[in-house]
Amino acid sequence: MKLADIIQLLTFAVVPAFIISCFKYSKLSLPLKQITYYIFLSIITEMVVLIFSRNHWENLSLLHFYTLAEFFILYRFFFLSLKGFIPSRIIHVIAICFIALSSLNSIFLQKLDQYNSNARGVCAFLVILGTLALFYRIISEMKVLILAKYPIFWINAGLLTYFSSSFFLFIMSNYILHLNNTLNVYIWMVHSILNVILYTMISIGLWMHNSNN
Amino acid sequence: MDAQQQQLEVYGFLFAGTLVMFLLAGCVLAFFILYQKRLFNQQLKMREMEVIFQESLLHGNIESVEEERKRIATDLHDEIGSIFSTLRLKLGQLNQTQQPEILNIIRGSDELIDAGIKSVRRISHNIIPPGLEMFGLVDTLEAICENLSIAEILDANLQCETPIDRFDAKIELGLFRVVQELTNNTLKHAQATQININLKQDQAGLHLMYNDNGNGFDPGILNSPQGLGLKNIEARINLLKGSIVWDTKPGHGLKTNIIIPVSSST
Repeated sequence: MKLADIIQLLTFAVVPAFIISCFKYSKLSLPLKQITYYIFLSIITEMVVLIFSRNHWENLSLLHFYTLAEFFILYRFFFLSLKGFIPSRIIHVIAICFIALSSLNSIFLQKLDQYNSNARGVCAFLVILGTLALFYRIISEMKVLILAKYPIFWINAGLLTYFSSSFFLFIMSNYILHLNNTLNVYIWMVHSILNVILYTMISIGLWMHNSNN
Repeated sequence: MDAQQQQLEVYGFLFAGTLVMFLLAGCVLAFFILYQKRLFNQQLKMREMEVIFQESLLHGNIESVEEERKRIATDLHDEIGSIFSTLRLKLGQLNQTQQPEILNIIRGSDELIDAGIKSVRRISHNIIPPGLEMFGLVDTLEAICENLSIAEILDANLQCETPIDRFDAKIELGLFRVVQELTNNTLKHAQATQININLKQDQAGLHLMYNDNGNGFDPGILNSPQGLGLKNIEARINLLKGSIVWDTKPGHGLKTNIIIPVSSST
């Protein structure tokens, strides 16, 4: 089995999270519903990417739209989770700035046929900040008795692990895009493993949710 | 060759960067988990200390109230009682006179002195039950029931389902005070015609069941300022490490189950 096949196989890691999201959706709190939207977005994107690659179409442009959609969902997640802790106005301003700058980046700097490393890097950085703020909220409020049974902890830990580990890859991907295909496969293999970690932690988080949370 | 070396360096940097960031995220998570655990344990300890402090405050408060009661009862009995007795002796000396008017006054005063002595005894016995230390909880509760029944206020019964041992003085006094507060409440508010007190001792401890057929009350009153007497009862039970269950609603009387974990003192 080739590495590229393994990478494709690893994309199925999103399936358990998708099944749990479908089963638990109606019982989830508003912030957790945003995470199910994130999973739905991932599933749809994977399917579209599969269709594009089967037809040998260029799919890099998809990433520009995916970045905006992914950021919007995660912005909603952090906005709802950090409500009352960080002034909403600050979160809104950051989100609007990012969406505007990311759009400008896709129009003028890194066009649709290029990897939008600027936007991906900034998005990852903002998500890291969001996860740290959310951890700080959990610590300062001390309302959580057992972390392992708290869905937000798992999801936040997954987001922190994925976005911080992928940070360098995001900011350098435009540079390495045509540098060395063999090593690129290796680096995307690592990215796929990080994806598996993220989806596994999201699955655990959603699974841990019950109506008492 | 140089270009290849440069490529390797770029990828090396990328892999290393990814690994470092992954480890950093792991460290942040580990720190977060440990810090949260430590903080939580610290808070738990603080809460425990707070509970212990409050308990000791309550304990001290109840103890000082009991000591004050004891002092007042003793003062009343010994000082006022002896003053009345001396007064009676003095009046007895005046009995030798033949003047009927004075004799009438002496007889009237003697009756007043009798009433005074009885009042002092009744008040001091109400403050501190005289038989509790000597005869124990069962006899004292029986005396309460008898007094209520003799006074024809209502029909009060005490039943012991098993032999009841003697217990630590604090437990006996605490339970006596609880029953005293319950009967006072029944007399004041319940308009009951019957009180039943059941005592049972088993491995779980001492069970005291207090029932009346009065008005009952809304259990929600326990959390309101009106339920201060009931709160006092709960505080005394908590102090004895026991539990209390209120089974009551308006118009359905009162059923109270109290369990005190005890070991007999005899």
